[in-house]
Amino acid sequence: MIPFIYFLIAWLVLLLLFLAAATVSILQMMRYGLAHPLTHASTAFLVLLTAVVVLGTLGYLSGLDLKAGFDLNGLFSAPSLTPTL
Amino acid sequence: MFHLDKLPGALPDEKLIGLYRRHPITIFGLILTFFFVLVLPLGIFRTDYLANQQFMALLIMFGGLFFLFVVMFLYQQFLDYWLDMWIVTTQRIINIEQNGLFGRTTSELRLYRIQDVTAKVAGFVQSMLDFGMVYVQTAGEKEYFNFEDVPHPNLISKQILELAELDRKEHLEAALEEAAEETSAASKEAAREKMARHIEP
Repeated sequence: MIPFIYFLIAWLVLLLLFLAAATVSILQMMRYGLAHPLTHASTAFLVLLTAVVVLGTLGYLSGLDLKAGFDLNGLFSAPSLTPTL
Repeated sequence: MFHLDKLPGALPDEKLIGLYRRHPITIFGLILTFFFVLVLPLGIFRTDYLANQQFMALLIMFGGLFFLFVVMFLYQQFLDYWLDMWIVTTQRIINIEQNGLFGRTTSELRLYRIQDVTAKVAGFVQSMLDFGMVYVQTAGEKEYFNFEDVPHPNLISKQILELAELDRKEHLEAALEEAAEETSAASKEAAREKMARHIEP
């Protein structure tokens, strides 16, 4: 049984990496990009999409019991996951 | 942010003629790859997974993150495409090249230095969609100045040649006037020295 909090920490670390890379990309675009509607639209798309996915995930996670364990063996040995011939 | 009405190092009486980028078809393959990568996880997805709440939570967490990374990769590729541009003005050509996220090269070329302009369209797709290369040859150290995969390369090359001709004429006139002024100033100086020698006892 792996505590679910470990997965949450891994997710947060990856999310921070994503946010750092996305911030650098947006800064470069804002610094050198041409003043054009497409420059603003593409940046707004990335920011909005990030907000929706992160807030949606956090909203879903808020309803979960983070102290509960996650059984990998139980998952992969489930009859529904065995290949059907 | 970069504004076209405020060009970098703008020259007096300089007017913008055109801004060129690579043809959008050049990033079409990338967009296709993006959609393929986005749909890829659906290949291993089963409806049974939805029954397991913990697995569902992991799927939402890491699936969402995967989606975000793919979108960011696409954004960075778009940035690479979007920040590559060639600006033609009445006096010069500015080439701005973005290499990855941090590499950036800006070079410019005065139109009067252009010796030859060549447009090249090669291949079926380029012929059908009318895009290709424009090679601008100069007399300087950097022999070529290339417009890569720009739409309507023949029109652009013709336009650059005409602008270069105009700029060369203007530059020649200015150079001649300058030379004439220098010559007259030098001859005046020589006459003044000659007079001074005569006056001297």
